[in-house]
Order: sequence, then C-alpha cells, then structure tokens
Amino acid sequence: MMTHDEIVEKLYSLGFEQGWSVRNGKIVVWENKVEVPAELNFYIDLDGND
Amino acid sequence: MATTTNYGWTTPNDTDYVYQGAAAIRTTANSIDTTVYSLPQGVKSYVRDAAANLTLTTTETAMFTSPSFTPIAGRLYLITYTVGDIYKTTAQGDVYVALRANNTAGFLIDRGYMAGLNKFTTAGYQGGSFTRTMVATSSILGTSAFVPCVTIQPTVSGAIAQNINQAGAISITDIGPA
Repeated sequence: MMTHDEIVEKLYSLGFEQGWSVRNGKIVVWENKVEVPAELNFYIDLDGND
Repeated sequence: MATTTNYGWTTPNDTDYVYQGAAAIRTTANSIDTTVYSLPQGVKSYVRDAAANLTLTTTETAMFTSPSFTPIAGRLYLITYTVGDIYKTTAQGDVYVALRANNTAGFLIDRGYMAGLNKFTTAGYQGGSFTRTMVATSSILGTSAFVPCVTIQPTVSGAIAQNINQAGAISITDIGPA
C-alpha cells in the first residue's frame, strides 16, 4: 500500500505536474490525456462531478 | 389578564369562563409560536474534520463536507468554514477556498482566497489556517437540501490543504428570523 505522500511523489516522478488531485490517499481528479499509470490503478477513486 | 413571567404571554385568569377556554389556549399558543420563531434555532449542520488531506494541482477539488442541510425561507444563517492548513508546494500562487453545495459542480455559496503564498520552506513558511464567516438567507442558499462542501483550487499548480495538524470545520447556525 502506498501512502498519500507516496502517491503524490510517484505522480511527480512520472512527470505529471498538472491535472490531478489526491485526497486521503486516493486519486480523486484525473484530467490528463493519458490514463492513470497502471501501478496507481488501485488508488483511483474519482469524484466524478466535473 | 394574567401573563407569564418571562415573555409576557397572555394566560386565562382563574375566574374566566370555561367556554372561553379554547380561545384563551389559542391566544397563548400563538404567543408562544411567535416567540419561539424569533429565537435562534441553533446548529443545523456541523462538522469538525481532523482527517482531510488534499494535494492538488490546479483543478478545483472537494476537501470535506458537513451533514445535509435544508434552508428554510425567512431564516438567517451564520456560516463559518475553516481549513486547518493551506500551503504551496511549488511556485508562488493564490489558493481559493470555496463553500459549495454538494461538490465542485454545486452552486457557489461563498469563496475566499489566500493571496500570493510562497512555496513552503522551513525557513520561510507562508500559509496557515483559513477561515471565513458569512450570513445568508434562502435567497443565497435556496430551500433545497444540500451537503455543504469545502473545495480548494490553487491558481498555480501544487498546493496542500490539510485538517490533520489543525482541524477544519463547517458550521451552519440558525441565528433567527431574516
């Protein structure tokens, strides 16, 4: 399991500077043209209200 | 005519006719109704949140909510919302804090911002708690039930909003007739 901060660090390390939000250890916003990296799939829980 | 001690509500005298009792009760009840309506009704929606942890780029994102609330026409509400800590993690920028109905797509109740926050450094911390207080009636809030929701949106990518070290809160209190 990755912590909240580890998920954030992973996103930056993969080059994602924009288009995401992480709340309480879950990726709740994803607005990049590419899909969420597979290694982070477990942490996706989009708000779905945009 | 006898009256009550504190609010002066009219009550029947001991010597009044029984057949006038219904009218007397109605008069007293209406007085009570008027007085109670004029009083503050207390907290209608409240949360003290010590768990929300949000890291975001520039997309407005929901941070935490309080229980569902249904505004009543003619009442005045005191609304306060607080975020424990807000700071920038990259370049300098503003951070908007809004109170919306339900989520980021809901109608905007109120919004403020922390201006020109520098990137967080241990030597030059800029940031901290955020609090706004407002009053509102149904002309702003409507009369439909909604879930009060605090949202965050940086103008420049990279910010953290947390209620971990200092709690955040949403409080909506009925303070009397509008």
